[in-house]
Amino acid sequence: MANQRILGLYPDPDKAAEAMNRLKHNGFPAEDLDIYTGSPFPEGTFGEHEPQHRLYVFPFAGAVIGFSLAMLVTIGTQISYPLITGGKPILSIPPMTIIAYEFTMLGAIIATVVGILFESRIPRRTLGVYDERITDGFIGIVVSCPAERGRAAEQSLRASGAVDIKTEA
Amino acid sequence: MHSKGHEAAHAGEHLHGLEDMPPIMTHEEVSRDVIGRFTAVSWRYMAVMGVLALLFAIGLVAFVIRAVGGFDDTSDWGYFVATMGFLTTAFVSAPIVSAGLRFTKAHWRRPLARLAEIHGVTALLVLLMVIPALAALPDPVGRADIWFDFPSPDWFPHMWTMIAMAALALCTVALLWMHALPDLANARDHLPQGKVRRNVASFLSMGVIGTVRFWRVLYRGGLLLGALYIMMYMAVQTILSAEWSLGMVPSWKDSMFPAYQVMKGLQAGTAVVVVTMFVLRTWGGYEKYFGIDQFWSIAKPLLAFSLLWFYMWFASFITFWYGRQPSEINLIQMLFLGPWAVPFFSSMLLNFLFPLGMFIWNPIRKSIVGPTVVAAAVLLGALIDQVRVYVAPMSLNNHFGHVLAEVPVFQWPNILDIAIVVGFISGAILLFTLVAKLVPVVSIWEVGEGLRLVKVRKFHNRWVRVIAKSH
Repeated sequence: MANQRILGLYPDPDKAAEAMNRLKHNGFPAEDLDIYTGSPFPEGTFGEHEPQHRLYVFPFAGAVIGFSLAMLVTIGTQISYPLITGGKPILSIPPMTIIAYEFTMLGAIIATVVGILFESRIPRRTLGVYDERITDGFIGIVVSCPAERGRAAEQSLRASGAVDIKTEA
Repeated sequence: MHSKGHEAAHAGEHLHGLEDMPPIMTHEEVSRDVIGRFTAVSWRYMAVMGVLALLFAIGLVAFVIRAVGGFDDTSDWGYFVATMGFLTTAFVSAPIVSAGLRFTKAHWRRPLARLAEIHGVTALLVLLMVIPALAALPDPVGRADIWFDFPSPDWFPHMWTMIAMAALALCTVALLWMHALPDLANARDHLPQGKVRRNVASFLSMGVIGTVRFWRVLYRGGLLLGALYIMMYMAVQTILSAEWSLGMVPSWKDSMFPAYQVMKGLQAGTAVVVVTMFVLRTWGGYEKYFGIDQFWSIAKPLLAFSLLWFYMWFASFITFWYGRQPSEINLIQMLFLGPWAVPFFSSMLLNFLFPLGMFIWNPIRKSIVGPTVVAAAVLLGALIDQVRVYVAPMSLNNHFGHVLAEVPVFQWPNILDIAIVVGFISGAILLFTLVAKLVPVVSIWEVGEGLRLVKVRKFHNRWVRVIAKSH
């Protein structure tokens, strides 16, 4: 049977934390619970599952690509047009350094932006189960569970003081 | 949702310290207030926009007249390049304030981080200004050049400078956009249905719903982009200094000068943030967000940057002073003591002596007006200094060779120069006012995050504000 997502809305972090504890106590694994907030809370506030991300790989990879591209352009140009300037070697490092720095930074910046979008899982075409009060400071607890456990999840959310419950099939 | 910080205010005990406390709002109050101001378009806003647009249009007309006259005479483009340098030094550097304060986890930065990042969008204007400024440069062959005569392809002249500027512009837009995503989602959620601005906010927010993953990635991604921005800004200032200043003057070899320009950027960027806070507080209705905390705290780095101004200048000056070669004597005359002495000493006064003389007094630092007056002086000094370091080199008759044989006379701005300077600075402010209606000028999510970390507690015979460290 397909999973459904249920959102419980809380005006108070204390009640949201209580809801998380209750859900976990009632057999809903932390990996199946998510928290929607209008601003970040310190890690572990709700006993939530910490998602793993690889954002740091992106700027590094972008920098490596940018640097490689810079080497290709500068070395390629100097070999294609071998002009000796000021008695320096054809492949002289100082002029290549500045261009390599530029390309490296450009690659890192582009890759970081892509990394933020990818690792945040955005853009998102639809908001799914969501409530506009979340950006006003309310806290949404989202449970992903099989449909047959939906009622139990809803009861746990209500018992912890949810002011609203929304369901997405 | 009431913050427990209110408890102290209602406790009824007349203890010392409560009068200094800024009001503690709830996240919902902040959200409603900021979105309300963000949505409102007052007659005053429209009037300011109109004046700025008119000045910018006049500047553009002056620019076109100048461009029709050609790019062969570099002295014609001195004030244009100086304006470009000033915008880079003052406005484009502002996001460094936000990035630096994020690194240090300064709690007081929360309300001002966004406006600093919005100022960075001026990099787009500078990117466009670089194109004619590059056209005004003389042939690099036979002239000191940061690219070591490294060729650009014929189909993309000055490719290396343009790539650097484009990378900086891309980074500043990304920095602003990423940090504005949660507030764009807020605008998507709370602006009335069917409004164009709601649709724009909805598109730009990219479906952000505030998951745990999103916040973790945004936090680290913001720091990464901030670090990249600082690194790129230093590179761009180095390139601008080399292209239109050092490279235009035979025998001017000064490794301190780009660092001096970067340091001036830090000082002027901080000053722009202070002045903008004052304007938004006084005329924008944001006095709850830009209080004594922000002005008092930012006055300290502004003082530090003012002291560094002198250090950087002196480290550069002393080399020529002791060198005493004929060319260096001319260089000292050109930059400091000769026809350009008045701009130099004005800058020394406005960027170093005046901030130092004012900021040694705590009551001045701990005020709204004190840091604002100093910041305004710093900006004026920065503009004058950019005129000195760009117009004087651009006004030389001979940019080639190994010896500076002449000391250029002071070049007064003509009517076109004045229109360009005023017009393009107005253009940068116009860009800020436009973007401030695209993204909220106060970061709601950052202020909201901070609210939860602050409590007012009794400490013996007074009230104190306790700020939690969450990391």
